[in-house]
Amino acid sequence: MNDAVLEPVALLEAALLAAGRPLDKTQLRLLLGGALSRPVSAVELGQWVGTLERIYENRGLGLKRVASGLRLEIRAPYVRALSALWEPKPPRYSRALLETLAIIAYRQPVTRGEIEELRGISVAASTLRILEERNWIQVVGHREVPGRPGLYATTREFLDYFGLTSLTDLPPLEQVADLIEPAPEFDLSGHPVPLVIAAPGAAVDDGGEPNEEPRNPLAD
Amino acid sequence: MTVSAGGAAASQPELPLATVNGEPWLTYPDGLYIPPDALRLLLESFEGPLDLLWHLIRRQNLDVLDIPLARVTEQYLHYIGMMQQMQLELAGEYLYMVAYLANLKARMLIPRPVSETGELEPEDARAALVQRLQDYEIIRRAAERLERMPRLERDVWQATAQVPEVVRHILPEPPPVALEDWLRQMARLLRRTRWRIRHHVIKDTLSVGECMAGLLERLSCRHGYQRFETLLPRGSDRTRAVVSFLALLELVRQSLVNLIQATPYGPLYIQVPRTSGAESPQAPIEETHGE
Repeated sequence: MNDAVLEPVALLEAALLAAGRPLDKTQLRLLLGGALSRPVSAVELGQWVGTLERIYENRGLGLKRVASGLRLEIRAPYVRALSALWEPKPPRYSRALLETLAIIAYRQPVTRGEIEELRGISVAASTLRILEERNWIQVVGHREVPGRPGLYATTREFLDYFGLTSLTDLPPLEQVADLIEPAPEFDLSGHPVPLVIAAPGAAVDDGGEPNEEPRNPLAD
Repeated sequence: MTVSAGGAAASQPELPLATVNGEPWLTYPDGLYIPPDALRLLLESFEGPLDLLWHLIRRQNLDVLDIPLARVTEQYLHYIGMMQQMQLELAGEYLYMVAYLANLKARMLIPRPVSETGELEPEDARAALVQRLQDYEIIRRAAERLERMPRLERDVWQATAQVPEVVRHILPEPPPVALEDWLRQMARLLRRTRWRIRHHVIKDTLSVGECMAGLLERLSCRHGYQRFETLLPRGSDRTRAVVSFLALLELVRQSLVNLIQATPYGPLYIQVPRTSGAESPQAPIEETHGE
């Protein structure tokens, strides 16, 4: 066996491809250090990762940083092009499931009761079961109220699956302002005060504009 | 029969718009009327009463508080009857919503009471409903964005080479290291990082929620009481320390953990309360406070 000098960048690529899952910095440094028979510094690793990223710029493969580390993945446009060939199709998730997941992701840790309060409807046991089976959520504790309901939080697998490195990567919640403007005046004679509904599409999503302070008609 | 969602009163002279139970309808019903035939469709596309209410408000420019209540109630009860044939558990929540609306309406009709009872005044009750609708809408949109985010399996695929099973377990274990080496490394690391801190701008990627989950996880895999200082991950910078502290405060507020200080100015201990007394953990300080 002719022992050619190992090219570290190629080694990195081979390692990620062979692992078939994200590898974090520590694992990579150990793995590459073992293969190269010398310690690998974090700076070195960073340089190799940068080189590999440039190599992949116009390729079907790409490097992605996710919560569990570095992942070698097939890029979205090529997946789109190829997925027609594959059977079965990836699972689709219902609105109920996605809303439940969104609540857990943004409001964690959160109990089932709190999820139901927010959605105004009970959470099907199957929804939580699917989320747990997919390893996207887990019970991280119990609220000390009667019944000790479990507190749900998202997992690293959830972040990996959605291509995030941390919860702070989640897109910020949209501000839903001015949906329902308060009535200009509160009529003390007791007539019902009409609620004015803003036209559809009036919601701000960039948060650039300060929300209009709702006038408090009761103040003086 | 078609769904009359648009609700504008078209002035057709005599032709009935629809015939319901043998009775001709000459004008569009106003308010929340939804033909029963459309209900099946509706229920399949709505996620509960808040979603339905939200849709009706947006779609029909509906005044939440000026709805023709008798008809709405009648309609709702009719739907609920149908729901019971389909999905029994749904009915309760829709019923609750109509009861809530009716209650709200009733409160609006009476003069504003001099509230001593601590009950919600109409203005507050209405604001609470609006708040709930908004909270729900925010989550609904977040879920939509989540749906659009590129994800494994559907949008990107994990690249992998076929590797024989045997090779899969070769991730080398770290070699055994003598304790002194660890300590020496740590000391060196600390010396170095002291100089480095100045040059690094580290993006703040901490969320209190994440930190809370982490703390709970760490607390529940250890037993008994933990000293507050030991809970901070080693090498935590200022920000992490502050976020951890905030997370801890929040956990205490939600009474998810107990905070104990046995003596004045003494160390703080934290514990995850457990109910089923398997082996009750040792209290950290035996002789305790004298009041």
